[in-house]
Amino acid sequence: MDCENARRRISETLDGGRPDAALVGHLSGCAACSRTLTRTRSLNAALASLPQLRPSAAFSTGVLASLKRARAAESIPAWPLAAAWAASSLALAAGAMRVSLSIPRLAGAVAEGAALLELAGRLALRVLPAPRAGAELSAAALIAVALFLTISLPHAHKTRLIGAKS
Amino acid sequence: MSEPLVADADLVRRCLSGDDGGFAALLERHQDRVYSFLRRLTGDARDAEDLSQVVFLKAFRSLETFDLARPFHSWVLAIAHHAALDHLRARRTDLSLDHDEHPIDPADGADGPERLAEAALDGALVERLIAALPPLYREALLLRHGEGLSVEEVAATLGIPEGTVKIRLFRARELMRRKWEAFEKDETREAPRP
Repeated sequence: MDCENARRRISETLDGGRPDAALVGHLSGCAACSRTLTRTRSLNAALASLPQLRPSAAFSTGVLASLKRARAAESIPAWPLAAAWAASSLALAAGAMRVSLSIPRLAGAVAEGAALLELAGRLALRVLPAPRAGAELSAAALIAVALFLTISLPHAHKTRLIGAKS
Repeated sequence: MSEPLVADADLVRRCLSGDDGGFAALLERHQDRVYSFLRRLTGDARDAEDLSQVVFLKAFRSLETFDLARPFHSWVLAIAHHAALDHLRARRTDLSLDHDEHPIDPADGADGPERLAEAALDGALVERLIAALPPLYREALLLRHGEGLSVEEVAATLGIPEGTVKIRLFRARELMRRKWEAFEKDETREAPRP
């Protein structure tokens, strides 16, 4: 066994491996490797006796305050998001009715309902404490779609009626 | 170390049932070991405290995924390991996590180390020797000896095979020992001759 292999085996032995006859034989005749064993044991012992370090006194208070905020964000009701979903669904339905040109009055009513729902969802998101970013973004995206459709629909419906009269 | 009156798993259960007092107790119990690990791994007190906060918040949010049969401290140290490596990579894009930035001359300690006067291996010197190791070797040693984990537990904490842990430990010990001998050599050289 050469010294390089002996040092590897020493490290394994210190991690619970059993010293084999080849290592024992090498150590009995190699002062450098015997010294490596002694020194590595000393280093391991010194590492094990290092004191634990403490964070600042404000650390745990800060973590617990963050946890409290996280809990509060989790307890936000889901209805604003549901309102945004419903608003966008109604707006899309109104858009589909308008495209089909068959029931414009119903399309107008549905679009008005969508606008009201959208407004409720938007106000709720503004009034409630900061919700989770993902929900906020989803709601904002849906609200944007609903807003676009509900604003454009009455105008399109009116234009169509004027066109029909003339 | 004596067993705590309330097991970590029971504190986790309390927290999962909505009692934040359970998590406060877990925080109190494990904050020093997480902070110590991160302080020695990052080498910066402020970074270590910021990262410790991130670690505990992540642990809180992931508690539902915690396996109650597993030790809480190795689970939270695994989160700390990922947070620290992300931090070290972000801090220095050119950082090599497993190469020695201060290589040792292979001849160091080879010309009769037994002739060298043995420097006292005090805590300050050990801290310096650890700080000089590449991060991946440093964390393996800290978990194995600082935290007293077995090779199997270190492997589970770091998510790597046991063989890889043994290789990192071997290289870490070699580097530390050689740096120690190089330090002694410098001390001997600088010591006034009688």
